Amino acid sequence: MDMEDDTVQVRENSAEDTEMLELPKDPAEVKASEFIKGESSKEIPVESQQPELPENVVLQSLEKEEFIIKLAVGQQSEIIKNAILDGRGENPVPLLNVSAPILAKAIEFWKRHIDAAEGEDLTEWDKAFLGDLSQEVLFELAAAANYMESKSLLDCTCKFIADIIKEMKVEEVRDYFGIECDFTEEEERKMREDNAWAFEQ
Amino acid sequence: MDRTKLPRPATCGEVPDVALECVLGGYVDDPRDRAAVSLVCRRWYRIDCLTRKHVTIATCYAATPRRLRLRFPRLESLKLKGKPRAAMFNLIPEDWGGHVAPWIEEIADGLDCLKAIHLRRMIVTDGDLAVLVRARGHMLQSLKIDKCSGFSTDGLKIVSRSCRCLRTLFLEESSIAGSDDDWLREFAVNNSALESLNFYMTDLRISPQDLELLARNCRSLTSLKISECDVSDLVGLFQTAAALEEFGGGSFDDQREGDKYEKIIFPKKLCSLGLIFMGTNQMSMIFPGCAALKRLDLQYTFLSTEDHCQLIQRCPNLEVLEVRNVIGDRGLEVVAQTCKKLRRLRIERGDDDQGLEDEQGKVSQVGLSALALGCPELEYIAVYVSDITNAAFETIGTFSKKLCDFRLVLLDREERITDLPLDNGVRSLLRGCTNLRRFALYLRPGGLSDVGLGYIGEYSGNIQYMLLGNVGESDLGLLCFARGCLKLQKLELRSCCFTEHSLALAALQLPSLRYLWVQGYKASQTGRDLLAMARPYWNIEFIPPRSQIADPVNDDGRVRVECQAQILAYYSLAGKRLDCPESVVPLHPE
Repeated sequence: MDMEDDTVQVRENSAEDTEMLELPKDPAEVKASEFIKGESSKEIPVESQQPELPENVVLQSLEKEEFIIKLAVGQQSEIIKNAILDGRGENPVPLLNVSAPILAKAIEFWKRHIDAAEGEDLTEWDKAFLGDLSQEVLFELAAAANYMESKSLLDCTCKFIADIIKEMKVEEVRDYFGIECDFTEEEERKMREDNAWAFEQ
Repeated sequence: MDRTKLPRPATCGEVPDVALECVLGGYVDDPRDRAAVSLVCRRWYRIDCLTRKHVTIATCYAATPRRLRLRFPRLESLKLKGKPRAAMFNLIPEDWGGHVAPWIEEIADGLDCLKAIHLRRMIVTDGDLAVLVRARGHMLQSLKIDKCSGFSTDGLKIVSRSCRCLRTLFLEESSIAGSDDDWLREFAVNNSALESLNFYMTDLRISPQDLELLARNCRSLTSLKISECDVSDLVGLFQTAAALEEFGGGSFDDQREGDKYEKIIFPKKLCSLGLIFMGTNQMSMIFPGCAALKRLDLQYTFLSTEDHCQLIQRCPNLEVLEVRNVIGDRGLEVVAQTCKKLRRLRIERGDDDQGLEDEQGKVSQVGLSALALGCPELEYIAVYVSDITNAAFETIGTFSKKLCDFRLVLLDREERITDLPLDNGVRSLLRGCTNLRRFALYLRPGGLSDVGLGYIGEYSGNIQYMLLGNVGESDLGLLCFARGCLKLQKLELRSCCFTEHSLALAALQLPSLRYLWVQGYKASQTGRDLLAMARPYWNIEFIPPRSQIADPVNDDGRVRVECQAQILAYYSLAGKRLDCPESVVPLHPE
């Protein structure tokens, strides 16, 4: 049943039926009518939000700890953005794959990036921010960025990690990540040959 | 990367798979990094196997198709090279090998993510194209059949009918049979995604109307390089192809009325241009666009030294320039003054036999020194010179700090060269140009002594590929050379005086060598002395001396030349070749 028709009918009948005078005010209903009309809610720019959209967003970590942030900050994650804009009323947004300390770091990153002035170069800040983290947290942050679909955070963390790996020799990589080599000598030799003689990039 | 500022290594816990896949999947591309990554441990090896997007196989006989597929099942892009580089100079028997069929079979069988394929100097049949298209046609975005042979316009039509999302089709310098011209129409009608089409230096026939149709249907067409077609017939094409940034090919006919070419207006965004047979009278038609030009190819024009000077002084934004040595020292001086952004310069040899070339058309130390001083951004220089000095090499070593690829051939026209041997100059160049990865030096007897050859070995730095011709005086020089060159992977030697035995010893000594080609040495009839370098995984091929048609393209077979013996040796994980033709003799110990 088309909601729009219903509301029109309600107005027309309002003289006869005072109980149905009021237009629907429930935010959920308004959003649903948008949905039926076929507008893609993802395309609504932040500036022209419906007044019903919250100013703040509540995020819930793995441990059910809650973080309150501004909507604009949270929109740097597609998962959070979609949860809010899709009008499914998911507030707080559950991020059950992300632990509280990691979520806190992601929020810190997003906050700094949304507060940046037009054209401000945050490369140095990013490097310092990531350089302060332990290796464990750094990787978990990358995984979280992937889960939460935050391109800016994912790009930043992955590039940082890639830069660490670059130009390291095999033994250095193992040392740094505390990895034990589990190849046999024969296997390792075969692979070195593969790499040296057959497959380049 | 400053190691002291790195996050401290983890004391417990493993790197999450997801994070590793993200990092390796999108942010580690350098071949050396990928090689290191794959050797860390089994988990990292597996992730590398699944996330590596592109592989180049420099010699198709170095690995089996099966091995490629098993190791990199999600490969998206593959480059395969077949015949040795010498094939480009008609030195390799046509039937030497490099058949793409086994690779196409494996691609069809299991490389489901493949969307880009580049075949270079291989034998590709219409049947191969049919199999490829049947398996991957719907996904293929880039198909490059580069200096290949064995297929025809029928094969092209198969591609055009099924590869509707093809963005790049590259056929440059391939030998393509068939004289019908409707293959292009098939593309124009079936495809609207094409961005780059290149059939430059092929004999393919086309009609200008089909080109126009292609331009109309493929609005993203930015690069078009065609075979010969009179430029005055392309007025419509240039009007339609509004997005075109690169154009090469066409031709000019001096017999046509002069003003026919004046109607040509090139597309606004055009910044790369190469016109075949353009002469002095037609040159002015490109003047309006010169300031915007980033790439210019004059290798196939009929311009004089003065013409080159006139033209190049209008091109301050050139980054890539390709010419013949008719440009002369004078033209190079203009380049040095005008083209401050120049990154790549190629100076081919002119066809001097017919006496058509300008008398000023010689390049020497004068032009090269000016170039080094005037163009600090140069990364690639390939040049045929008539004369050269140690000082010029030194200048290059001092000023061309960004040079990655340097190739110099000393022509044998002049009887006397100013300043031989070039030992000290070469040493200075190698010491100064620390970014060199590829290096070629083709001189004449007396051009480089054994000491000089030893310098090349000692100061080769990170050079991975070398072509050396007419260098050294004796085996001692070669063995001295082989004590250095720690990073040398591919070596080509020509017209040298070395014996088979010392060539074999040198090959054994060079620690990174994986590919060797030699022609013009003290050859035996059977190549038995080469067995001194026999070792596991090292394939040795001996191509005995033979007589062949001098110019297969233009000749009818009456003029034959003696082709000297050749050695080809390379590491292979595929075992011995099973498809050697008669002209190729594989050598193995008894």
